[in-house]
Amino acid sequence: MLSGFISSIFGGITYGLILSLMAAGLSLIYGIMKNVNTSHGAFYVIGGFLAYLFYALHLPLIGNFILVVLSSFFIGIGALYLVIPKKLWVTLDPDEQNIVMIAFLALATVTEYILLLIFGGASVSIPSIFYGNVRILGNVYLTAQVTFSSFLSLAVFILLYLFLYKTKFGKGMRAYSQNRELALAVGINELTIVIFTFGLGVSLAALSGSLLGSIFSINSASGWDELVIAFVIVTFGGIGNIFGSLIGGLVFGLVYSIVLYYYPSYAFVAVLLIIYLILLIKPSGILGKVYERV
Amino acid sequence: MSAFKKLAKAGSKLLNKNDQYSIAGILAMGLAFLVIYFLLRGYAAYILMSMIAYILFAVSWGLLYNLSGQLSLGQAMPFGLGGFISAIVFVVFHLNPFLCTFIGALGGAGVGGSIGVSTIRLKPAYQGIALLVFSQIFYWLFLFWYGEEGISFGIYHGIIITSISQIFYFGVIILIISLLFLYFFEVSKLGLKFKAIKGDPVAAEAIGIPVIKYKIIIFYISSFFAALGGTFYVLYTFHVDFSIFSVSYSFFSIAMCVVGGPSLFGTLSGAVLLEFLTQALPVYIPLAITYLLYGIITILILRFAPGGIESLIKRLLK
Repeated sequence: MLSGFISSIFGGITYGLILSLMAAGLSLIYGIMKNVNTSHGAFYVIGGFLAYLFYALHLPLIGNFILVVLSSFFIGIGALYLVIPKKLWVTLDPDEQNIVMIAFLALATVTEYILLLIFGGASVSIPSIFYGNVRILGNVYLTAQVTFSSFLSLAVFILLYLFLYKTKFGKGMRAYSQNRELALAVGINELTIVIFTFGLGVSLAALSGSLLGSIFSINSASGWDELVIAFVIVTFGGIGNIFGSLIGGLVFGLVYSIVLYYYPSYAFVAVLLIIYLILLIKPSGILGKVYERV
Repeated sequence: MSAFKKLAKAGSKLLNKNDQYSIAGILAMGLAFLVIYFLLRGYAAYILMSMIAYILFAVSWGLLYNLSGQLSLGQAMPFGLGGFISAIVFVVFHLNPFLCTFIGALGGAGVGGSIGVSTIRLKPAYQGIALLVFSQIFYWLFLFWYGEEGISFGIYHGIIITSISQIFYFGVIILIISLLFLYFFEVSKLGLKFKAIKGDPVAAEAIGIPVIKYKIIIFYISSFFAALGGTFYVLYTFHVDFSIFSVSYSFFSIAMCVVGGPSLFGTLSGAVLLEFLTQALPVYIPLAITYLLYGIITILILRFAPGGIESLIKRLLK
């Protein structure tokens, strides 16, 4: 009984770590572009299916994931150019934000049906890289694939931190999100930053799709739930801030897997409701004011 | 005869030319539905009824977005709630199916509207997704409660509860009444106030329009029409299941409005056109490609003709 509880905690942490990658992507895009990327779930699914395709190449270790990240980076930028008019990329006007959200929603629908036509409606599971179990303590085991995935996502998070806080480009991104006019005045290139951020954001979603796709499974319509989850995590942790999404992701994963252990069918609904209640009490998110944005 | 002339005179005083044309247009549309039904029957009746359901659905989304500037990405929530409530009421109490339709519409408006109202104070971008979250919640809840097969209710004690033609006439009547109501709502002073809210909420607040109160009102009205569309959709298919809450349905309502254009008649034409395509195209190509085309058409319209078909026609007429 107790070991079941403990393993659900470990399961929650790993699940949360992987999910928070995706949420961080959504959060980054919102922080820079001030637009909610409603096609984020679609890129999650694209990442899953790309990993499924690239698996046939039998690349060593993380080569598969690097390919997924790179290709979804370019797919994302291409989609941005095709779908959204350039003047709406960065906007603060609510009407224009709405138009962008509708356009991204249309993009997500298009992606869903393209994937449905290519891969069919059945769920696909990406083959694992590692097989076997890792013993944590006592009777608690994690599969090797889950352990690997959570360490990989932790590593990506650390890289993301180093990139945003230690490199010049990352500092430029943060500056841009904090004060657009001033950032433009000191010569930060807006176009590069916006394009790069969108590519980075969607490739984080794709990475998390390719990781979760081998733990669970993936089908053309599974992006909508993931979009909802990512949004919930991001709002919970405070939008536009990557640590918020890390902590939000962990909370989501923990609550989800603990509820899942006791009331399996209502887990998803229960988590959404709990977080909705928290948001009613504190709309800016748990870390809304504590951390600086992006 | 003179009494009739007097009445017409009084009518023309009360209604300006635009109103007269619009009322004539709405009535002509109802008449056209009836004529098509009498000429073709069969599958045509099915297409017309699905058009009625989707027109109400699309118009409800347009009401929310074009009149008060609130974006709902989960309009399938009131749509599905209305459908489910009417089906449940029928299965449990065996009331008259048309009465169930109204109960479903009111119930859907109550629940969906209340949930929508709880999101009003959120920023626009958040509000859309918060509603999407709720439609997903109901998607899963109704999947657990009623399973994949949902509720089917067409036959009671071995007899079909109503005939298709009854449902069809009922549909045309609610369509005409709803459209007339919506038209007068849009051109009334209240409608103008809503347009002010959409244009600039802060300025509207400054000239004394209670913005939050009006946003609440419009949410309930919009949910009512979405739920009415949903109940009618359920009534003519005699079936409802969890997939009615899926994002695709929410997207249909958005696509119809965007493709058609912001005004009532724009939305109407968008809904009729897209629903006709949905029914006609799958004869030649797979349904998935039809939905794919929906997305592509929406993106193209958003990029190149943000006013929808309506603006394209206006451009052509000039």
